[in-house]
Amino acid sequence: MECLEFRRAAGSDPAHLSADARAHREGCPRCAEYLRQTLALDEKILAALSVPVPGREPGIGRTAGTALPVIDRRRWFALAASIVAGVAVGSLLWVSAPRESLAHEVVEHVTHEPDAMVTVNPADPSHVEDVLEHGRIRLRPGIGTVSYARTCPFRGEKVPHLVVQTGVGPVTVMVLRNEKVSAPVHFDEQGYSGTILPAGPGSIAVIGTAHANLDQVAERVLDAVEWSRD
Amino acid sequence: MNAPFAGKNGEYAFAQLCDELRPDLFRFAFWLARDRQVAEDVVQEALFRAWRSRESLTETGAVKPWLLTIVRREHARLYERKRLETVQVDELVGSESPELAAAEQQEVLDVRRAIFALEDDYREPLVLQVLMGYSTEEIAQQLGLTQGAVLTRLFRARHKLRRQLGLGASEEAE
Repeated sequence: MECLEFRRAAGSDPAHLSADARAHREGCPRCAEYLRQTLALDEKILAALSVPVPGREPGIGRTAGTALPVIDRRRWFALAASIVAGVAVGSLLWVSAPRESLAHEVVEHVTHEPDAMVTVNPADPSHVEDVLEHGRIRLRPGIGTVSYARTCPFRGEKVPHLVVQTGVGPVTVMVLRNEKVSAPVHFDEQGYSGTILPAGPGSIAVIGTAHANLDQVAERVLDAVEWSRD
Repeated sequence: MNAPFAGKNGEYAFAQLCDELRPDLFRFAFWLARDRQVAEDVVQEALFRAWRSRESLTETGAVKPWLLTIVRREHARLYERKRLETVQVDELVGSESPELAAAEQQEVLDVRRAIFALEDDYREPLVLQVLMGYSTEEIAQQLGLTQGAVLTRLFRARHKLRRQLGLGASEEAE
């Protein structure tokens, strides 16, 4: 290997020299010095690149091959809150916390899927059909445009989570086959209004934006949902 | 199909990984955008998208390159047209945590200023190699380049930094 070739190799990947390059370095003091300077430059580059991360101690860097920084558990909660409006936080709390009221958990679930409320275009009909089939329900015509459909984990079960476009804005419908309520439950929290109605073998939650009048929508939903047998 | 991030346990595992990788993702985004606020926005959006698609991942080892790819795409999608090409480098460096700047060594600030001034094509592979610890082969995969092209860009990146910092440019091979 010649000096020119060595310096190209050292200048592009100084930490991983080939056997030929290492042999050349042993016999060439000037190239050895060039490599030393390049490795020293890389240390400075690493220090310069390791800009402080928001919410972390300044100067946490990571060199190639070293262990990742120790996790500050509090940071995760901040991250989760920021990236998915609390999706993960809700999940963790779900695991460890005592069961909350049904209404509270419904609202929590809605806040965890903020993207569900954004889409206004009709959801793929075949996908909607899959979700309904999985939830063992059918929808009669008249409920409105379904813009979101997903089978969601809720209280240990998989439940249909739909968003329907209505005259009072997007309305979330959760079909809760295994959650019985003896009478309608009305709630208003975290910027959402809603009602949980006895229906079929369980209940149906209808959730809209704060102060939305959901009476007519809820009636239409009750009329539209057709339960299959268990 | 193996889906390590499905279900409640998967959610928790994915959350942990995101927490561990967040500093790297932020720094990568920062050096793409050269702007702290933009980097935070990009990482936030990237993690949001990743969270929604996490169940499609079949290997835990693939998470980091996958997340970096999402960060790159998010940056391109959201901010490529707003790149701060016309902003003076001194202004960029000065806006980068002035309270920290006062406490850091002048030498680090000089290098940071020089990196700020590098063209994107040189800065990005350098960040992946020096900060992320990626091999040149991995960088080539990440950037969709040949390994030879990556080696050339890395060499030129260091060459430019040496020149800017006055570190023995006459000894260079170019």
